[in-house]
Amino acid sequence: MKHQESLSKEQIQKIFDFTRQKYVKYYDVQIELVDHIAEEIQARRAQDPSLSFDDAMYQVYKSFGIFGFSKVQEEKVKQIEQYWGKRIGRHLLSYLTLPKLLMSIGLTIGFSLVTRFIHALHWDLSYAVLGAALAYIIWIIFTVRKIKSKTQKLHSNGQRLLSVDAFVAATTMTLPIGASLLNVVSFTSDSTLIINIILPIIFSLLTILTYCMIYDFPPMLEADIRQRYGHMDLSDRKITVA
Amino acid sequence: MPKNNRYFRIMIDPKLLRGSLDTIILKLLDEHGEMYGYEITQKVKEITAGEIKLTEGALYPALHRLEGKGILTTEMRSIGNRMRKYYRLTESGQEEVVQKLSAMDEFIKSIQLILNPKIA
Repeated sequence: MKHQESLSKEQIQKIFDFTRQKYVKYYDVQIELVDHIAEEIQARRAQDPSLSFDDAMYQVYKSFGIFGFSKVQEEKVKQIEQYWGKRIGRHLLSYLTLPKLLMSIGLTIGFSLVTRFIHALHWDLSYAVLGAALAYIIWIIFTVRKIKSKTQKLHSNGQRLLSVDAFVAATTMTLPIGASLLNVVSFTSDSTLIINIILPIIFSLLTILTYCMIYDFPPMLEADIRQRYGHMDLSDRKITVA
Repeated sequence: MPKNNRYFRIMIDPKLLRGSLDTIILKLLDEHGEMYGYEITQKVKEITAGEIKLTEGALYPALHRLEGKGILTTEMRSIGNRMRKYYRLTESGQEEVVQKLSAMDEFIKSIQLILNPKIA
């Protein structure tokens, strides 16, 4: 077996830069490609010592086929987005199953008392719905901006963390769904049903979603970053997302 | 047309390989415990004496897909001046190997019945 000369730190950095030039923006994909390319370069140069590092690197790139690195990145993005979609979805659904369901029911009963009280005072409930919708939309805009600005700090120079972007995509997607819940009111004109059941359920679901966005989801991302990127030097990044 | 003699080697049609990629990966990980991407490509090349060459563009998406399904789990380890990602089977992955291998075995037997009815 021919001797394989290990690549230097500078050469490894050059491969990282090369993957970035070829539109691999995520560190998660870069790190795996760099190891593969480095191994293949070493093997090719052991076979043919006259082969330059740059030529070997280009040859390896060509061996990835016509789609280059893009197919590799595409599948990885899909995998992590599905991971966060499922995690966020499962977490929200946990409020509709025992034991958290009891809390959700309690919250709905609480809101039902409020809506009935407002109705008993002969106040127009449509103002309450309008006010809730407006407050929720303002809160959505504020929250999305906050999440984006806090998570941006987690990416460093040329090292975009895929899990962070997938988290942002999954969580911000749930917000407009929450807003559209208020539309349910327009499907019926039965005021007793709206006051006693529909509005209390919608308000409690919006409250749960808001609570999760503030208290539940950020620690989930923080734990994921520590576990997934624990091998990286994250000392220059503020992991606190909450 | 390539011939199977000492000068020419019949390379396996990539279309035939496409449906067997997951089975190949799972079988190798079952045998070797944990492996990294490049190691898998080299092991396949070695076992098949170069008849099967797994392309990187097919291998990594397959590994990521299997990881997403919870069949594989990964671990990052430092190897000098770079990191390496190792794959290994999860518990459900081990069950998947048994199913995939048995399905592949059945498939090969059925194909043989069609291609070589006398031998089969």
